[in-house]
Amino acid sequence: MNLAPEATILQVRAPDELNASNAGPFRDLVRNSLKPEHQKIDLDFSATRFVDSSGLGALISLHKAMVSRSGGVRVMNPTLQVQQILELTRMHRLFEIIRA
Amino acid sequence: MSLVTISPGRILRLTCPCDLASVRDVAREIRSYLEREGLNAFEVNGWELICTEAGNNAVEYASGAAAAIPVEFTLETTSTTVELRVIDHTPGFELPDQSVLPDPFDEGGRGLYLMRTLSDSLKYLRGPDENCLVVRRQRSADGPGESTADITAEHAMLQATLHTMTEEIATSYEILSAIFRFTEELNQGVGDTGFIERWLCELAQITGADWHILRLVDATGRCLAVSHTSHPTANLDPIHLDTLSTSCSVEVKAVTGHQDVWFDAQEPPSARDPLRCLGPELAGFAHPLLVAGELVGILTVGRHSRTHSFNAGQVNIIHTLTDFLAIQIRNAQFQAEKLRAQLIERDYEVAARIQQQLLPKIHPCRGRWTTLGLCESAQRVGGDFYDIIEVGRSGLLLAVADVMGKGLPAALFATVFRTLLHAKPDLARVPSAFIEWLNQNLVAELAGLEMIITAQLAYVNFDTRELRVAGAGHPPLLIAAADGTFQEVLSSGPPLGIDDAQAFDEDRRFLPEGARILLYTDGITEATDEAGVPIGTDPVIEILKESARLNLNAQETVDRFAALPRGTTTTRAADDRTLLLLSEDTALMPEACAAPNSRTLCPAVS
Repeated sequence: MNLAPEATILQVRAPDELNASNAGPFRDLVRNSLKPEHQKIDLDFSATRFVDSSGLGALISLHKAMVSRSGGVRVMNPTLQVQQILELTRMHRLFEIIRA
Repeated sequence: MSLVTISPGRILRLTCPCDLASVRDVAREIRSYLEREGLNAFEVNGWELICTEAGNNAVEYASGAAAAIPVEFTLETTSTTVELRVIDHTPGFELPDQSVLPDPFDEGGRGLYLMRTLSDSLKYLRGPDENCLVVRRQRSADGPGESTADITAEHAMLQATLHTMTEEIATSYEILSAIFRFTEELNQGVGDTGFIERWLCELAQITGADWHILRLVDATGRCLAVSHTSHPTANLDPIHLDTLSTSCSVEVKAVTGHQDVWFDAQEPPSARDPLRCLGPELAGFAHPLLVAGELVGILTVGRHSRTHSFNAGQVNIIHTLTDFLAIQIRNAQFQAEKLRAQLIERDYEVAARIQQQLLPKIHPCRGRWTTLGLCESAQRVGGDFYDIIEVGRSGLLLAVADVMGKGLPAALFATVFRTLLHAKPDLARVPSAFIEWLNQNLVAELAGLEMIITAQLAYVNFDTRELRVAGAGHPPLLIAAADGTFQEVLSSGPPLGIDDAQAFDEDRRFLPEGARILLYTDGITEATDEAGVPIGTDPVIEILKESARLNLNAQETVDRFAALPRGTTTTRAADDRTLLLLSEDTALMPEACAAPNSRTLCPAVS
C-alpha cells in the first residue's frame, strides 16, 4: 500500500484483494495515516480484483470516520468485479465513485 | 488446502485449514475451476464471492476444538446448475427467511445478503457436530460447451468490460457536452431561471429521472426554499436551517449529514415526509449542494418506481452536473454580494463626504484667540462631531458631541445634533438651557433606538473672559494657563437621550492668561498604545500644559494631539476621536489685532 497524502485528501492504493483476512489491518493502517487536515480519502481500486463483505465493512468504517470531518471516501477506478459488488450492496450510493 | 476429487461427474471437493487466508485460496481455486467449466465472468465472480463469504462464516464462528477441524467445500456442476456445499463445525445459526441490506452505515451483516442475492436458493442444514450450507444457482442459458469454455469465458469478460467502458465513455461525453452547453449559457447569468430549468431538463433526460426538487439557500442564509420542481403544485414548505430537527424528512437528513440520502420501496420516505406528495412509489436520492463545505442547496431526484433506482454512472452524472451548478450558483452569489458591497461602499463614501462638509470650514478667531478642531472617524463615517457657532461680536459657542456607536446610525444622529444646534442660536449664551433643549428634542428618537449622545457646550465671552460650560455625560473640559495652572470642568449631567426632564447645571469660569481650552471625545483618551493599554488623560493634559507654557500656536498643538496613539490599527482609529481647541496667543499684543473678528480658514484634520 502506498500512502501519498496531499493537502486535504489522503490518497491510498488499495491492496490486490480486500477481504476478511486483511480488511481490519488495512482499515487501521489508513486510519493511523490520517492527519487532522484530511477531509477525504481517495482509495485507488484500479488494481483491486476482489472485495468481500468484510472489505466493504472496512470502507464503511473509514467513510464514517471521514463523515465526522465533513468529508467522505472516494472509490477511484474500481475494477468491474469490485463495482459489481458496490452496486449489489448499494454502496455506490454511499461512496463517490470516480473514474479518471 | 487439499484437492480430494475431481470426478468425471464434475464434482470438486476441497478442504482447507480453518483460517481466512486459506478460504481465499479455496475461492480462487473454485473460480479457476468454474472458468474452465465455461461459466461467464459474472457467474464466476459471483461464485468466488459466495465461496468466500460461506468460508469466512465457517472460520469466524468456529471456536475451541472446532477451529482445528478443516472446512470442507464441495462444488457440483451440471450443464444447467452449480451447487456449492460448505461444511462447518460452528454452533450454527438460524437462517432467516429473507436477507435485507443493513443500514448503509453498519459495517457488518452483508455476507448473507450477498450469498442470497447471487444465488437461486440457499439452505442451511444444522447437525449435532457439523452444519452444511447449500447454495445453488442455474447456469446462464447461453453457457458455452466444454470445448470452447476458456474462449467463451474470456469473451464474456471482454464483453462486460467493453460494455462498462462504453457506458463510462458515454457518461463522460454526456457530462462534458452538458457542461459546455451550460458554460455557453452562463453569459446570460445563473440568475436567469431559464438556465436552471434547462439544466434540470438535461439532467432528467440524461439520467432518466422522472421528477426533481431543487432547493436553494435563500438570501438570509437560513432557509432552503424550493427553486425549481417538476411538481410545481406540490405542497413543499421551505426548510428552515436554524430550526432543523431530527426530522424524518429525506431532504433534512441529507442537509444535516452533508451526505446523499437514498430511498426506495425498501427504505421509503417516512409518512410525514413532504416527498410523499409526489406519488406512492418513489426511488431516488437527495444530494446536498456544497461548495467548499458550505451549503448552497439540495437536489432531490428520483423515479416513480419501487426499486429501479440510478446506477453508478447515472449517480456520477447527477453528482458532477449538480456540483457544477452549485459552483455557478455560488459564483453568481459572490458577484451579487460584490456588487452590493460596491454600492454600499459608494453610499458610505458619499455619506463621509457629506459628514466632512458638516464640520466647520472656517475656524473663527477673536483677537489673540484661535480655534482649531480635529475629527477622525474609526469607520468611513462616525458619530463624533464638533462645531463652533459665532455668538454676537464677542462670543463663541464651542460644541463637541459623541453618539454612542460608530458607522452610519451614529453619523445620522451626529447630523441631527448639528441641525438642532444651529436651530436655536438664542440659547447659545446659556449652555445649560441649550443642552436641556437638545435633550428634550432628541430623547424620543434616541430612546427608540437605545442610543445616547454625550455632549459638551462651552460659551466664551472674549470681552469678559467668561466661560460657561454644560456637559452631558462627556469627558471634562480642560483648561491650561501660561502660568502652569490647570483646571478640569466636569460634566454636569448624564448623556442625552435618557430622561427628557433632565436638568443640567452650568459651570462658570474666567479664562486665565494664555489659556488653552480643550473639548474632546473619549476616543482621544481611550485609544490604546502599542501595548494595548489606553493612553488615558495624562498625555493629553501634558500637551495642553506644554502648549500654554511654550505658547504653541493652535496648529502646533493640534498636531501634537493628532500624533497621540490612535488605537489598534495603523490606518484608522479604533474609535472616532475628536477635539476642539481654543487657544490664546500671548505673544500678540491686543492692539496688534487689527481685526478683532477676523476669521482664519483652518481645515479640520480628518
